[in-house]
Amino acid sequence: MALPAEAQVADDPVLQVRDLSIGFRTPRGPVAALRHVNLDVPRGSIVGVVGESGSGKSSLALAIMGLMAGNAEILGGDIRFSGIDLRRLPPAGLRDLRGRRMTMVFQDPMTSLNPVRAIGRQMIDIQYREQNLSIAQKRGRSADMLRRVGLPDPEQQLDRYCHQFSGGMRQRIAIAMSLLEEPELLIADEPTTALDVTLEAQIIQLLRDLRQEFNTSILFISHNLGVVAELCDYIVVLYAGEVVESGPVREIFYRPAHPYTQALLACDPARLDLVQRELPTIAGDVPNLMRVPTGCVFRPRCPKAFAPCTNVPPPDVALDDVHHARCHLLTDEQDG
Amino acid sequence: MSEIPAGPGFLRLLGQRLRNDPLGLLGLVLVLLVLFCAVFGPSLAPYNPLKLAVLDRFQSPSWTHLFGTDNLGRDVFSRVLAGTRIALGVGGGSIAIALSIGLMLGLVAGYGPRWLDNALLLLFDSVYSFPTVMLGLTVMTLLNPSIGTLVFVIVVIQTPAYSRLIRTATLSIKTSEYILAVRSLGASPPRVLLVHILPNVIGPLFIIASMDIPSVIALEAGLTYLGMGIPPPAPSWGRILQEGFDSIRDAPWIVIAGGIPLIITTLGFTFLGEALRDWLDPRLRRVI
Repeated sequence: MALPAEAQVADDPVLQVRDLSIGFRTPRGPVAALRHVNLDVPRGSIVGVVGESGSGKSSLALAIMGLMAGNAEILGGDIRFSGIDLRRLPPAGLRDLRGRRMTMVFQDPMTSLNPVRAIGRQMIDIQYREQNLSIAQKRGRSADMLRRVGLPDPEQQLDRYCHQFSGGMRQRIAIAMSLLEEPELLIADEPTTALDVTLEAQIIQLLRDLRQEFNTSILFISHNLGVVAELCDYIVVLYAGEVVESGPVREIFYRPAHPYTQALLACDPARLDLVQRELPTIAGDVPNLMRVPTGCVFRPRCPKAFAPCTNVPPPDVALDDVHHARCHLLTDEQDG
Repeated sequence: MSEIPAGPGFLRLLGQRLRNDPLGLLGLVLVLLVLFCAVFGPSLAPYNPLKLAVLDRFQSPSWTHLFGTDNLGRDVFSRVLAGTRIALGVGGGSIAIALSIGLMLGLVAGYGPRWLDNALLLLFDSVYSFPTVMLGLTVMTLLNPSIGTLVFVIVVIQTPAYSRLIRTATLSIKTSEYILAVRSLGASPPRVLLVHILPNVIGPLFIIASMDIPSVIALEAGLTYLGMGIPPPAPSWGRILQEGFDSIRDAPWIVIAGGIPLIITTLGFTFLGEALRDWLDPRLRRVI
């Protein structure tokens, strides 16, 4: 990655999330799902968000899209999309951006398409903004987009229903729908988790090709480090609702700074050097977000925890321009 | 334009299903018969159903008067035929109105804000909690008994059931991933509701409604029999039954002739509704 290009994209990120905090109201009390999250998606790049289940990945995606559940609220921070402050945008303005300039693909292609409408009708319907196009033209555009995501015989496929397609095909259709208006940002929430490995590889390749073709920036949410390493330019590691480390993919994989990232990489079966009997795991559980631990969120599980971790929240340490991590060890290293 | 293959395929499918479901076929035939009588009955009737012929009163069934004559000498067969139109008009019409209102309120309750949902639910439950016939009798007593009032009563009684059905279906669909997906593609609330949720919830409603038509016709007959339905001299089935009951010892054919079409209609719509429920079940449809 050449430096000048980076400097240029840094000026105009498609998505800029600053200090974002999200809470859920539940019958048993508030849950602090995301705390002080920072995230940049430079134009034309693919940014991976990695984290365990419950780390707040999907909440982050839905917050950006403005589609949070009724009991969720943004407690603070900014979400800027191409310079537009999404939090100050009225619902109609946000709706206008959705589908046209930013779209989302969901985890399970089995449930993300309407079962009672032919996919052609769904695709024609979501082009409702194009008032000067005829139905036939919209149909043509839909078929064209299906061809571009690799669906054979798109004209015939338009009259079929989603239950007549396989999982991989459905995810291609969902991706085609989200790309119809050539959005600037595509949020993909674990788009390959429900698919088998062969299909996963195909969808990853498809996303990479589409980024080239449409220059769409992608926020790729996953718990699969291998997939993220293969596809993304940047990585954001989310743990228990906090960004613990973020940076270019090579930096994260070759010089992980945060103990959580290090532990995560050590658990990746694809990276094991030897054939080991047992897969390493990270001991302990993700903390209950109704009672966020004081100090560092990872302390209860961290093998390297020491005195300040218990009650002082670790600072965001910039290891270089783009590589950040939140850990007390890093400040010590720098001090010493 | 894109739906051309759906037509013949659907009819062929229907034919295939009919052959495998004799009860459903019987229901269809009975409903068609009733519909036929409702449309062509008045022109087929051998006599004017309202014309009095006091000299011919209480004639037993014969070739001149197929179902005999009643206490005023009117031809019972002609009255039964003419009653079909009233029964279907009141039954079908009021169900159609109740269905439209119920669908609308149900969608709004299911998709709208919480407070509106609670308010509508309270309303539905209040109406629901009245015993049907008591509610009908009360309203018919307070207002003038007429076809319009009867339709109003039936709409009031039936709408909450449809609203609740649609509300529940909407609630379960609105949080599904494909609704989130179309919202992420920029769909506005009315678009989500009408284009994506409505086609998903409307199927069961039609089936329930088709099975409700006979019970509504029976309610009409019941209220009329109790003297609070359609006022005389309109030849509704309930009226025929009520008048026949007064002379059941001397002329039992009047009650029989008034009851048989009620039975035919009830059986026809019930069989057809049950068959429709089986035919439209998506799990069965998916096999094809």
